[in-house]
Amino acid sequence: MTAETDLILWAIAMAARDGDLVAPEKLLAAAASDADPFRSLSDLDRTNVLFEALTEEFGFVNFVRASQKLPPVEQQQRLAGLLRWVVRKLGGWQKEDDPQYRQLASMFVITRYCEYAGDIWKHFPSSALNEKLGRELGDLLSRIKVQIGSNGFTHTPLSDAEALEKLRRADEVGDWELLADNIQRFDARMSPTTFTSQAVRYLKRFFPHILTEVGSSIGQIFLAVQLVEPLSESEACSLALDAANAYIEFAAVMKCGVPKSPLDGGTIGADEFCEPLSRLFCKVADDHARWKTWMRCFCHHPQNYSALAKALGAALASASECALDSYVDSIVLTTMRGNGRVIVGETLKVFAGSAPVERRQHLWRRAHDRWKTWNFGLDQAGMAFTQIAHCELDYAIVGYAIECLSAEECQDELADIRGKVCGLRERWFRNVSEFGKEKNRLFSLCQPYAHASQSPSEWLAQYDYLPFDPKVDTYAAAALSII
Amino acid sequence: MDDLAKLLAHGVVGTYTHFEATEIFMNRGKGAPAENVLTILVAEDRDGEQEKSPSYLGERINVKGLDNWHFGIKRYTKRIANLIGELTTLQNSGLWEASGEPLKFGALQRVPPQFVPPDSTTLVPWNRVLKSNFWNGSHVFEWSDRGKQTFANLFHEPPLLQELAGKVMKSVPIDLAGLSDRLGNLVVQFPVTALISKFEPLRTGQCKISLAWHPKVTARLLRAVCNFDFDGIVSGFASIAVEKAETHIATASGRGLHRGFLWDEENEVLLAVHGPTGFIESVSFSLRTADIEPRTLSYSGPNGETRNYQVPLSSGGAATIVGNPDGDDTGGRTRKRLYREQEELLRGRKEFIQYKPVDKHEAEMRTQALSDLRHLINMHGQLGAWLWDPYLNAFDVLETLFWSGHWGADLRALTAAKEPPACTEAHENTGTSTSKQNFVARQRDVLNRVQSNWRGFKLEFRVRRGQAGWGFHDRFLILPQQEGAALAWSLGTSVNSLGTEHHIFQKVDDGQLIMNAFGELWSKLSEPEHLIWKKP
Repeated sequence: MTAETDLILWAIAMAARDGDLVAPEKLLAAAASDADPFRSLSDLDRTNVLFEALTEEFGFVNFVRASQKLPPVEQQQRLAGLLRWVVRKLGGWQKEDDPQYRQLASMFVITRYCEYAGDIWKHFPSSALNEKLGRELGDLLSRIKVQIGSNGFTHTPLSDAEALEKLRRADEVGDWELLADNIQRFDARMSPTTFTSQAVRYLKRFFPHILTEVGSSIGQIFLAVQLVEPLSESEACSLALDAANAYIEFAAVMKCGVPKSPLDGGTIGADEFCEPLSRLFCKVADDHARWKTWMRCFCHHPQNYSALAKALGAALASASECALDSYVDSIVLTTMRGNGRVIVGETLKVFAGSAPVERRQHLWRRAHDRWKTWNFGLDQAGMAFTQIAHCELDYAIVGYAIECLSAEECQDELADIRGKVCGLRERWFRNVSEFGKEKNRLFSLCQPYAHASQSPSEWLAQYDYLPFDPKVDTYAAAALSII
Repeated sequence: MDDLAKLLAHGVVGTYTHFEATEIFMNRGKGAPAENVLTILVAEDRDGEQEKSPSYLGERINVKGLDNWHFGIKRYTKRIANLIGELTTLQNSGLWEASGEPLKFGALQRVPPQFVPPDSTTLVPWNRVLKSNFWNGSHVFEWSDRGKQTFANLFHEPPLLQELAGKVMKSVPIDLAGLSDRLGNLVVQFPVTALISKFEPLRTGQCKISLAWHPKVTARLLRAVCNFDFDGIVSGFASIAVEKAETHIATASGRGLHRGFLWDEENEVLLAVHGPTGFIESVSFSLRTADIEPRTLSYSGPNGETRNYQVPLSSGGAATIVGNPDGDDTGGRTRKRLYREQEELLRGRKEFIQYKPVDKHEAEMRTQALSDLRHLINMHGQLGAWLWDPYLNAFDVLETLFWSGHWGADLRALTAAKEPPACTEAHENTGTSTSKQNFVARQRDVLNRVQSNWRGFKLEFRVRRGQAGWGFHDRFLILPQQEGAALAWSLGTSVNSLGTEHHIFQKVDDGQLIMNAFGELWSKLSEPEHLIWKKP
């Protein structure tokens, strides 16, 4: 908790009690001189004019943020008076009294200004509840149409225009894969407006059913993203489940899945939203076509939506075999030893912990078949293969070796690979690179079986195995280490 | 056969139990006897295996242009004890029936034994036909058909040999075309498998020698020799007895390429040759980033049609060299001399693109020729691209230099304001003068009407007028380079007729001379009356 948070929460608590009301005179004057303050709340530059007016009187809150020291008591009381004014106005707001939403705009500027303390709406007293306001906000949100375009300041107008046009068309035709791949590029610039964020939070606090009605009417992904952004991940999933709207569902999953910081390196997923997200996945998994599309969107490159891992694993545990196949088939396989392997491993670990053995075996077999067919991508022209490869399905292949093969069958696989390794020198290769490729392919094939034969507690191997002991067979080690 | 027999002895060079035979044969007509194209016998350890009966690899091979000739590949294994007997029979009587069927050879003569090292920085041509010669190297015995009369067709028509080689490669990695001088021969390969050795020159001036003996072979004392050579001198040499798994040998830390040898004094046989190889002293790299925003280009073509294009761009800094760029002890001068000498040796190879438009395909050929020119500009024109053509006009420049995707590249165009007869006639008919002033005005007009965002664009278009400089006739594309000589291509015709008549793009041997000549003329045409147009 910071000093600013303490101050604002205290002020809200005071606002619930009787006391002086402090109106934001300069803010109200700025709103009065704004031709359309409601529209201003959707325009960054115009909103800033209103915020500037507020900070002229209440800018001491910024100083608290910087200095982490509480302001003088008089200023604290002024802040409490300001929020008391907001609570009163919210509770008594009527469109007839505020036809151009000047007061509403002012109130939302104030609540947005205080949001550095987090979601303050959940601390607002029930006296701020106003059904007329709730209805009006729901109506306004439902009528919003988002238009995306360049702001005119870009140095790359052509490529930006092409990218935006691509997104627009994707939204129009429902090309979810293209949206999932590209929307993150504009993520930072798609933050909800002041109006949208405050309206959504107000409805979430006091009229969740109205928010659900709004959600169920959404027909644009960009609006859906703006609608779920002010909510927590759990709230977004709950809204998606209640609204039963494809755009809200998609936006909620995107919100949950994207790692919050590049430094996370692929956050595996906060437990707090795992359960509602898992229920959302279970719901969509019943629709095979849609599930297949979702898997391509969110599991193609697991590290892009890494925070979905655990929830996805929980959902897969009760999903149909068809849904399991779609999951396995959607993952792009690479030999790059990236983070995708770990993320898929986390998903499958949760899956394995909950799914019955038959379902587990089905997924392991599907993964194993795909892995063998993939053959480390060596069928692609120009593929280099200079070290032992791991891939995103490693966990599943070890699962296959442990739960689909007997111990003898696993040893037979290893023996077969060892035999082929020994026979490498009898084969005729075009050049040493081809020899190395085949050697590394055999070594890579050996990994999951070798790991499984150790009866490991952790199915994702952390190191490589060799099909022979280099300390014992020094000749083989020397012969096979030429590349 | 005593030398061969020595190598067959267990553990001397390997632990051979069998030989694997690969016979590439041909039948010149239906029912004709099989004749040898190339036979290679590889000594191997296949202990515990039975002999493998002959089997054919792949399908029967036919080659267009060699009617009624059929080729095939047969493979089998036999016990090593049979090898000398079979070779003796071949040597004495010319008969070879190791597969159970006769294979006809030409008049063979024994070639002195050879040792073929594995590929290193130098690729050894023999390795195009030998089997997996990646380790210590192989002893090779060869019986050569010196006359090669039966292969006259293949030698006179290289495409036929290429086709045959390509089809053989699908079944076995033997590149007949890569070692065509061995057609008709029989080759016996003894890969050294008694041990695996590695020579690692260290920066301390030492060389680390690692040995791993085959489990079936008793280790014995060997002698290792290491040497460095550079610019014709021996810059490092050392010899030492080796027995242990790892030995360090002190060589001088000289420059140049390193070679390592392992000699078995007891059996008087070479067991390994490594190299030549060397240290990487420096690495040059440059980063170029693709610009997501293209250059736009819109102009009216000669027929008044509007042409709109987008040219992708890239930009980046100069090359960065990591390490010691000199590569010698004379501040890089020795390296440059060696480079020039090597270039002269390689000068036999020319770049050559020929355009032969056939009726009704002129448009396609022109498109191809312009595409090739643009490709050269973008492949090599990072620093700049200069067009030198007496008939060059604004449309030519728009079709070529404007397509450079290199940010800030120095683009230059030099013309003599000459115009094709048809064009001259047209202007005379309209009453306009064909003087150079008129020409300059027309070119300026065309270029000033171009609509573009001019991203990363830098071009200057000059004309030779009056007595300045000298007249010129040839057409060149010149591409200055950062390191080494400039590249230059002779276009063979003017840009305005590229692809529409027979001509040849040919890479000029010494592009630097061409660039110097252009630069000299360019500097003489620096007065305002020589400037047609410039951006920025």
